[in-house]
Amino acid sequence: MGSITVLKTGLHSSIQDSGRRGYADLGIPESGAMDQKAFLKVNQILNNEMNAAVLEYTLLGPKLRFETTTFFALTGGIVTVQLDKQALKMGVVYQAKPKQILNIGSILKGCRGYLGVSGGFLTRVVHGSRSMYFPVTASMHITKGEKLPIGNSTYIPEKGARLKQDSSVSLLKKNQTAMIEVYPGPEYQMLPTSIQEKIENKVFVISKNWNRMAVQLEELIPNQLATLLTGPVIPGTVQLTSGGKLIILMADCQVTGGYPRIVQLTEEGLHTIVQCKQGDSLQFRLINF
Amino acid sequence: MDTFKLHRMDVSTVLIQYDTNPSDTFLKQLLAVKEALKKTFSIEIIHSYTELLLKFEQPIANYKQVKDHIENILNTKLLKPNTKNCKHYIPVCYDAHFGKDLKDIAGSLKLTIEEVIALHTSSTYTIYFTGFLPGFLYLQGLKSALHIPRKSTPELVIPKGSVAIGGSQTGIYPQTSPGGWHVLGHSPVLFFSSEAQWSTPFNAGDKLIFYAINSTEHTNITAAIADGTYKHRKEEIDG
Repeated sequence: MGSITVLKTGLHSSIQDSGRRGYADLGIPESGAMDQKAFLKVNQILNNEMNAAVLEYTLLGPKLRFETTTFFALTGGIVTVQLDKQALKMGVVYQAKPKQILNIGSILKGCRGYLGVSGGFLTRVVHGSRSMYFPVTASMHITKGEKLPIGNSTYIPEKGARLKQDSSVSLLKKNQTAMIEVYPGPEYQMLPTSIQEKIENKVFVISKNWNRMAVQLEELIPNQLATLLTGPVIPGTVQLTSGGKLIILMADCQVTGGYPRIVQLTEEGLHTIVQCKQGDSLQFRLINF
Repeated sequence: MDTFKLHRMDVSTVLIQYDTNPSDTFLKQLLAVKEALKKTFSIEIIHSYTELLLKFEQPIANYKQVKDHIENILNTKLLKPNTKNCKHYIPVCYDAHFGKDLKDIAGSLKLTIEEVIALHTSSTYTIYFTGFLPGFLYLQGLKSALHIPRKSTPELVIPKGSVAIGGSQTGIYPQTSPGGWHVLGHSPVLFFSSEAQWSTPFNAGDKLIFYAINSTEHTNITAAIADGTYKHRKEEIDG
């Protein structure tokens, strides 16, 4: 067992794993690492269990002090990161010695990054998951001064083993419009053709309201749709409110909602949107089964 | 039989939508269908007023097969759900310092405060499902004399345990949260806890009654809950 001390938290930094499934009946969201691809990747290169908990940060990474010898790696959004004075690369396993300081800077491409450690983070399990979500866990985020427990290392460095920067990671280039794959939602047919055309062709921009619960788009789509009876929703469900707001539900979203569910992000769509932030533009690409 | 349709939400999620109005009778049928589906597929299923959401662990390889199977179950005349339902008696303190919006609601509805409390405590509510927040119960049965539009500007902070009304609904905030409903009072009863030993006593199909307590009783119950010695009154009811 080892630990890592939080010197600076970074932004919206929390412990996450594959999420909390099976408790929607209690009103508990799925949570889990927003970028599941990056989460799986970091555990893979560390030879961790698939569900080993990681540290997720948004836009700005934390400053941490390793208290014990630790193998670690970073995936997700591209960051500048130093271990003491050494500049590090993404997707590579490094070994930190006790008292070394990891300084994760601003994310330059994408918006969410992941720190994985050999043995995983061992914060408290609640309802089968370490994913932080208040009130299921005591806090939504890591806190300054906190000592994060980590597991025993199971990583054995292989001579010459170094992963190339994962080129399949879908991070937006500057000014690139993200193509978000979606299925028609349960209420898609309720939409008049004029609105369906807007959904399928318009370029939308992410507003300042974006977080682990939902991503709201800037453009409004005025409509006369009736509010629905509250029904189930899941991460990736896109709601259209009576006020014309388009809301893409994310990992921490409520389990039920009363607005029309007009499209549903595919798995690819979700992989893309989780690395998009305020100001990024996107288009929906409607596909059918 | 109520008509229904299936919708593929994504590769591993199927939505069943019934074309009917919510009712206590329909809820019983819905819960029986949910139980039968859970037995067959062993997956997480969520229900709401008229819908069921089936969450498979893996992408569905043969959707037609799954669809046929689901439709067979839905078209079978089903027995009542096996879960025994209970009636829960929930203590609420309607004193002014808890019921922040009581005076305003009474004014808007042209009732006295006593009348508002009497109307709120004289209904037997049905628990339909949980959503919105961990532990937030969707209750039906609020008397129409208490129907009042939700606030146009939500409060930033509604304290945990607040008992409130909004639209045609009433409920208890299981955590402190922003909210647009009007607060009538406060209940010390836990509606959600992350403690390992706690499991929810509330099930869909259960009944719930609010009853008024005074400040002293509220303090005593709060202390007993902190000690872990309190259990609210609960009776089994016949299906």
